[in-house]
Amino acid sequence: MLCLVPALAVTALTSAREPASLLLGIEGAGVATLLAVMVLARSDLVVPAIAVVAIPEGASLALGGGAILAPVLGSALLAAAELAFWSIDNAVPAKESTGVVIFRGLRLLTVCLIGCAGAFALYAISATPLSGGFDLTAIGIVSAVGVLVIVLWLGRAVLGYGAKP
Amino acid sequence: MTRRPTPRLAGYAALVALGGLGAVTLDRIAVLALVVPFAVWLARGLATAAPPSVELLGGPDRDRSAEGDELLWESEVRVRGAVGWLDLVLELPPGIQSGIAGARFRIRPSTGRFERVTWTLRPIRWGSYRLGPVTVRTQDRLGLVSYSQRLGEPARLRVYPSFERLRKLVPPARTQLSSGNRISRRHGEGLEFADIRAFTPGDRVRRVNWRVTARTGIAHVNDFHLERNADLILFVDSFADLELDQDSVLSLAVRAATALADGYLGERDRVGVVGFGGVVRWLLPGLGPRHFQKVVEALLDTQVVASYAWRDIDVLPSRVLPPSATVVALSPLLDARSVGALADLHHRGFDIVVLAIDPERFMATSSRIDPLALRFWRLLRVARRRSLQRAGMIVLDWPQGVDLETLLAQAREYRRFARRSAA
Repeated sequence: MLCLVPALAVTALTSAREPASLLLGIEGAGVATLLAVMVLARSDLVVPAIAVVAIPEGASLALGGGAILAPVLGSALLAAAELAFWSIDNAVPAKESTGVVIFRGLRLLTVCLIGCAGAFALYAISATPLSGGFDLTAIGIVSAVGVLVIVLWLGRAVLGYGAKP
Repeated sequence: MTRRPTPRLAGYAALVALGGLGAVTLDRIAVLALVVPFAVWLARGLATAAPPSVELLGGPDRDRSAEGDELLWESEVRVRGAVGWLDLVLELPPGIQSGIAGARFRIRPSTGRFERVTWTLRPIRWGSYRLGPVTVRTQDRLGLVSYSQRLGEPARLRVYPSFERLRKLVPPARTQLSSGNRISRRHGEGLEFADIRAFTPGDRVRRVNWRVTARTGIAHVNDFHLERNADLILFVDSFADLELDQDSVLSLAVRAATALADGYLGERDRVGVVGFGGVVRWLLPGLGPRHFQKVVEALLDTQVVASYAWRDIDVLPSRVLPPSATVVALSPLLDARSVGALADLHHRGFDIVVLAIDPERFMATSSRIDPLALRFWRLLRVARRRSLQRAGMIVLDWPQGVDLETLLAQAREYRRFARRSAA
């Protein structure tokens, strides 16, 4: 069912004259899925449910509306996902300790703020009046490879993939 | 410590990848901006995630217990590293129950401080068990990587069977030469009056029956029964077993054998054990409270070992089966090898009492068995039981709802009736 969501979003983007109602419908289905996931306490389905909500939002942004709000929207999605995880995960019950609640809330807020700042920085970079060319393409390729290397290094260091037992 | 990515890590990474792909495909930086907070969460989580160092000490408070008793497993755990919570799961075999669901504790440890965790355990079936080790599970603070590790050494626990105290036992058909509490058929020194006979040189004067002597004019003396002990061999058939709700044929047999050993050793008889199955085990007959411990220890090791090899009693050393011993067999009569061994023992002159445990009491009522197969199985069992009865053995069915005491009363009646018939 989740595979249908991107297909519907693409259909809405390409063919429909008034895609807003379709996207709203998909997003509503995403919210309903998230609620169902929380009721069923299936932490492994939280991210797919968030994706169902996020894909219509992304499609809406692609259509050109409210791009400036995208970082805030992304932070809100992250907050929704984390709160959903928190409500399902009974490892640290929220009622047990006010300190834990405050700590986790502050941590989430910090990440959301950093995320927003990063996204706005991205906007700022993309808005610079630089045209394309060999130099910028080379910098882009090197940056992409660098990001990939960092991700692989983190994966190896944190998860132990490729490490000797 | 084993590390695994959580569904959150995989999901967030997929979202970020989807956002990046969407941004490139649609040529919209806003799509990428939508997933930047998720990327920040991933970056921060992966950069700060480090496996914690967990130290665990402790174990069970004893290495022996009885069925139904409570015992404690106390552990102290110390964590070094940033973790939000710690799951401690004590690995338990099926015969041991924990006071908490899944034997799982979840704690929020403070870094560097020992936290005490206590599991309350209850053995529900006799046996020799390995408890533990403890599996420790945790996640990093942002929930991206989960860690698990098995800590500590498994502990041995021997659970002794619970048994009923028997008030009356089946008297053995023959006694041995050592003194004991059983009244022998032979006459000699003892307390139980047996007969009056004519005086013979060597008889003690205190045993002269003066009334009979005065009446007959010939010296007569009282004769007494000797007081001797007997040898009892507990024959536990472990070829086949049926289990239902943590109880089984073998469990019942071992509990009954323990009760019989306790009763006969209390009467100063010698008790030995033969575990007859895929693996043949034995314990030489002995007496006394210490020997009871040995009997129970020997019974704890009884288990069903699948084997198709034909076994007979020739594999047993002769000292295990002393002459004139009484053999009490606990068997469901499901295997022809144990029936053959009992017939063999009977032919060699041993007094045999078979307590035939009804295996159907351990069959679930919902089990779907072909009625024809079930009927054939029952007929086979009846045929085996009758073949033993025809040979002259005491064979008693042990159905559900009958306790061992009642069964032994039936055996005594059977023996009394058989003696009267023989007379």
